[in-house]
Amino acid sequence: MIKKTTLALSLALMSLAVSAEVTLTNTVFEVVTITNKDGSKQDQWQQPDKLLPGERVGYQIEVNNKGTEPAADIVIANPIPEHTVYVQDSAKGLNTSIEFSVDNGKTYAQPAQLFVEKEGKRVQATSVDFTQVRWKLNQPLAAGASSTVQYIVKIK
Amino acid sequence: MKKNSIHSILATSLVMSSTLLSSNAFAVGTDAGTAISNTATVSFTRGGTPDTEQASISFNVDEIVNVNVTAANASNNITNGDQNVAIRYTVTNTGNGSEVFKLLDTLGATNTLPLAANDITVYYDTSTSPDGFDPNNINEQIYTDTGITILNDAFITVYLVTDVPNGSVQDSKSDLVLEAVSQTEAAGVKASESAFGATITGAGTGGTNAIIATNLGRDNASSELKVTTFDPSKSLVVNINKTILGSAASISNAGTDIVTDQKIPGAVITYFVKVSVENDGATALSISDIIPSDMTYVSNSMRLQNASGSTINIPTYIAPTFPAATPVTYSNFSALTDAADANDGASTSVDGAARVESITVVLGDLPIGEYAILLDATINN
Repeated sequence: MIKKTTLALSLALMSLAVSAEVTLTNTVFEVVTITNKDGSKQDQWQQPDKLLPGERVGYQIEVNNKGTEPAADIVIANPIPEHTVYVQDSAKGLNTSIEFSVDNGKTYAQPAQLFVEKEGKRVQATSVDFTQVRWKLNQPLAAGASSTVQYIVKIK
Repeated sequence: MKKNSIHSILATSLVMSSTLLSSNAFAVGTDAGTAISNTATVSFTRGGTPDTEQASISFNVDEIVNVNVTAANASNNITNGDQNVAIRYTVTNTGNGSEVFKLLDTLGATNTLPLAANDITVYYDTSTSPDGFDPNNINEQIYTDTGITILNDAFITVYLVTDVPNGSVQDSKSDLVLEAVSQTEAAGVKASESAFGATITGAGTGGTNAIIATNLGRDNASSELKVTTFDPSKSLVVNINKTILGSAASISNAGTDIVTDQKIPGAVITYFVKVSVENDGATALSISDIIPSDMTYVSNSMRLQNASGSTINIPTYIAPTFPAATPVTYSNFSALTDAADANDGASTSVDGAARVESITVVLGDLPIGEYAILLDATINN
């Protein structure tokens, strides 16, 4: 069940946009696997209905430049929510470079360069170790333009 | 990217997530009602000035309604006549929220012991280290159709307790089924009537939605009781015992009538016939008695005492009053008529000379107990 506060937060952001002129919108979806008529499977993002342990939840984060001048050096950072784990290869964003953190955002790197300590050994991090996901936009966002990134987590 | 996603959202179809289909995988999961919040931050520069914005969204984890019932043993070896046989089951709340369950015990299709539904008593034990059925253990309570709260990932132990009929034969068996039913409901929509995958809005922990992950909000398990050892001493025993309760004859001597207990011609003999049904009920039972050839049956002298579930002591003889010598009324005995009607099951059989040669009392199906008749016959002169 989605809290009513979502709407309130969106409204709050709208009011903030007046001064900042760059807005951020965070939307949650339920990600389900559907089977097509030909037997193939695909993910479908839909309005949340059953948010249960084991289910996948998708976040869409939209940055919108409502100002009159371009916004540069845009970085969107998102801690993986508590009680969830990141779903491998689910972070996407056009014209962005995507990095992850395994130390609560102190450092970020590509998955291949991330390591964690497990039982005293330094091992390659896996998606369940990720604590943050970060998108760096490769180019400034022009006035009036928007960009959307997304990723999926699984509820523990 | 965004455009594609929105298309996906609009292309609605009712689908069940693949994770929900394998519902037992939820045995461990985030508690229902847990808030999962997400705050994204964007940092940027505009005109050389750094700035940040944040956006948050939160949802609460919905509740899975799921339960798993297992029997400790698929089959239990018993002996006919065993008392307080306990079959053990475990009821586990495999959902992610606290749930109230009711228990139902039923007999399966196989029931040749046989048992009746009310032969079974349901006990439950909420302790985490159950140690087998013991009716004196304070942890084991008799279930009384009141819902039992089971926390998520917690279990209760249930015992279906019964006595095995004495008359159960070798290899006879009965299936006992225990079912646990979720009592979740909201606005008249009940988990117990909802199909697998249904959502009951607002019925979950903390006002979340409740998702039915087990059809009709229930699960059951069956366990068999089978007579693998037959004890013949415990099966049906019918004993019949005939005694002379007493006799009375009237003799005249010099104008004075006296009554004697001597078995002389003309004496009225009162017979006491007792049948005891032990260990198990008897079916189609009847008592017959042949009147000796030199005796005459006293009309309408059959009297019956029915002591089902009890015993009969031999009554104290009461001599009839002469000269009529009509059959005496004994307490606890009721008179039967000789007519062959279905009224009291009593009848007489006569020979070619219209002499009563035997009497019969049809008693039919009888529970454990004792049954007795009295009858009178006169020694022929």
